[in-house]
This record gives sequence, C-alpha cells and structure tokens, in this order.
Amino acid sequence: MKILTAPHMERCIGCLLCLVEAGTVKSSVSLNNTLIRVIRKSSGFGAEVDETAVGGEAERVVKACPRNCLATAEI
Amino acid sequence: MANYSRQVLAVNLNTHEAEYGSYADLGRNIGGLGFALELGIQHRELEPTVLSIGPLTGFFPFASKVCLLSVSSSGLTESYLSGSLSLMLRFAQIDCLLIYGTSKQPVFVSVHSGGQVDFLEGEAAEPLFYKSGSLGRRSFLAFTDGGSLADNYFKLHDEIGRRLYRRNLLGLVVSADRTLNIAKEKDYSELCREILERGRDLEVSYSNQPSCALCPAGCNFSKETEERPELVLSHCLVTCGFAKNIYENVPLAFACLNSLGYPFLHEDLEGLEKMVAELRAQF
Ligand code: SF4
Repeated sequence: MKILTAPHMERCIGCLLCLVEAGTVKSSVSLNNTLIRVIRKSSGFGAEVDETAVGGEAERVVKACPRNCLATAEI
Repeated sequence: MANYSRQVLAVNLNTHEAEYGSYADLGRNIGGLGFALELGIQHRELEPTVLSIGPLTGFFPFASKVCLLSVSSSGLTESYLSGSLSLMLRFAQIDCLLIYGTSKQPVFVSVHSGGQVDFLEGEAAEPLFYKSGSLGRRSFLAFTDGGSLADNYFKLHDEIGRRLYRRNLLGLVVSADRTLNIAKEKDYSELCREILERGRDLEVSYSNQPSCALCPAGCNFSKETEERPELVLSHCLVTCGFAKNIYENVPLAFACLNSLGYPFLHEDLEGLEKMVAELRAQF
C-alpha cells in the first residue's frame, strides 16, 4: 500500500498548490483536508502529512507539487 | 452563481466591532481593484484601508496577490501584496476587508471564516495572537512603524503599513476553513493545467524564494510589493503583475471566470479600463 510522505521539504517554497489540490474534491475546494498541512518555520517550511492517505489521492497531491517535495512510499 | 458573494468585512478600530455582509450590487465590477475603489469612494469619510481579492483568487495559479488601497485626505495609495493572505481571505469567504478608525489601545485583530472577529487588546496579547487560527491555514500581517510584513517575509507598502500601525493596529491574522464550489470542474481543471504550463511566460525566472500562494515560481521578487497601475485587468483579477502575459488576455480571463460560474461578459472585461480610470479620477 502506498502512503503520502514529505521527504524533501527543504525544497519547499510554500506555494500551497499541494494544499489546494488535496482539498479539491469533485466540484468543491477547501483547505480543510487532512492530507497535508504546510507549516512555515523560522527558516523554510515543514509539512504534516496524513500517512493514512493512500493510492490515487496521495499520487494526486505528489503530482501537484512543482518542487518534488512530496512522494509516496510503499508500506 | 457559485462563488461570487462579494462579502465585505468592515473592522472598526474605534469601537472594536466588526460587520460582515453581502455588499450592494456593484454591477459589472468584477472585483479586486475595481471593488476596492468602489468601497474606498463609498466610505471615503472613514479614510479606510481596503484589502481586496479578485474573483480568481484561491482558485487559479498566479492569482495570488491582495489589492491594498489606503484612502486619506491626501488621496489614494495603491499597492499589491504577496504571500498567502489572498488564499486565506478567499477561504474565509471575505472578498474585501475594510479597516477604519483608530484603536484607543494597541490591538491585534484575528479574523475567522464568515467574518467572525476577535479583538485582542494590548501588546501583551501578542502570544495569543500568534496562536490564533489553525496551523497551516492562516496568514499573519504584522504592522510596525519601520516596515510591515505578511507571513513574516512579504513586504507591505511602507506607508500603508505605517498608517495601520499608527491606528494602533499591531497585527492581523486571517484563518480559513470554508469549502467553495466550482461550477464547471472539467473546464476549471484544464484551465489550471494550461496556466501552470504557461509559467514560462512569466516576466521573471523561477527561483527558490518563498512563494505567493498558488505560484510555483518562488521568484526573486516575491517579497516585494507591486505597483504597476497600467495593469488594470490583472489588478481587477488580482493576479501577479509578472503574469501579465497570461492574464492580460480577455478570452482567457473570461474562460477562467466562466469555469467558476461568474456571470460576467466579455464586454465587462473590456470595459474595465474605462471603469477603473473613472473610479481613480474620483480621488
Ligand atoms: S506544493 Fe510543494 S513546494 Fe508548494 S507548498 Fe506544497 S510541498 Fe511546498
């Protein structure tokens, strides 16, 4: 089973494209998804990801990131 | 109409009260700069600062700025702010934030979705202010006399930030948790993809700086304010000026608006320059 991970947050620019993609479901969009949160740190950005997110949902968010910060991992 | 509610939040620093509601019909005024100018004129006697997002904000790449207008007896100051405030205003369902008056004591203002506002009084409220809202779904503005910042990085126009600070406003945070509808999902997704692919048409190169919301560029100018009064369509959409080769294009702007369900016509977009010139002339 594949899960969402955030192994390269040192590349993150805080564009939040992942957050909006994660919250886009059919014909609605919100920031309330639990898949990912991008958090501004004193230097750079970090992420909290929901490691129970699987399959297509996780892949979609990975693809949305323009800096390849995110990945899926097999568990 | 799916998303265009034209919700205005008016924050009165004199009384520490706020009023949230749908605004009177503004006809063919699509939003952003046009909306801010209308409100600035209607409330001129209050000498407000107006923060306004555009109809594409929060939905489309590079629709990432906030239009800031400051109205005073000496005229109008106009600037465009980078960062994530635009996205948070959209998902707080606030098209326009009007701030006026002067607080008797220093105050931090915390704005939640749907126009709920907490006034955190006194400088000692700062730690509480920075705990407001939900982690990762909020945007902070901090005002000082010597340079104000959004998200601790993006610069505010000096004079606009200073004016708010002198009204005893030390900080503003907007937290967002609303769900919004997209009228034509397929058109919307295709347009988003097409616009992202057109990143090569930006006037700046991609870099690794902190970026504005929904901008993959992370350009070397992201922290700067934008003042380019000639970009009328971009400023009414409140898209980034560096994306002018993408958005200063009526058919594309129309297609984006249409995918979200806005009722505007081509003629409305073509008439914006004249409308904005007439509104600006009233200051
Ligand atoms: S899409 Fe990538 S670069 Fe942008 S905020 Fe998310 S993790 Fe960071």
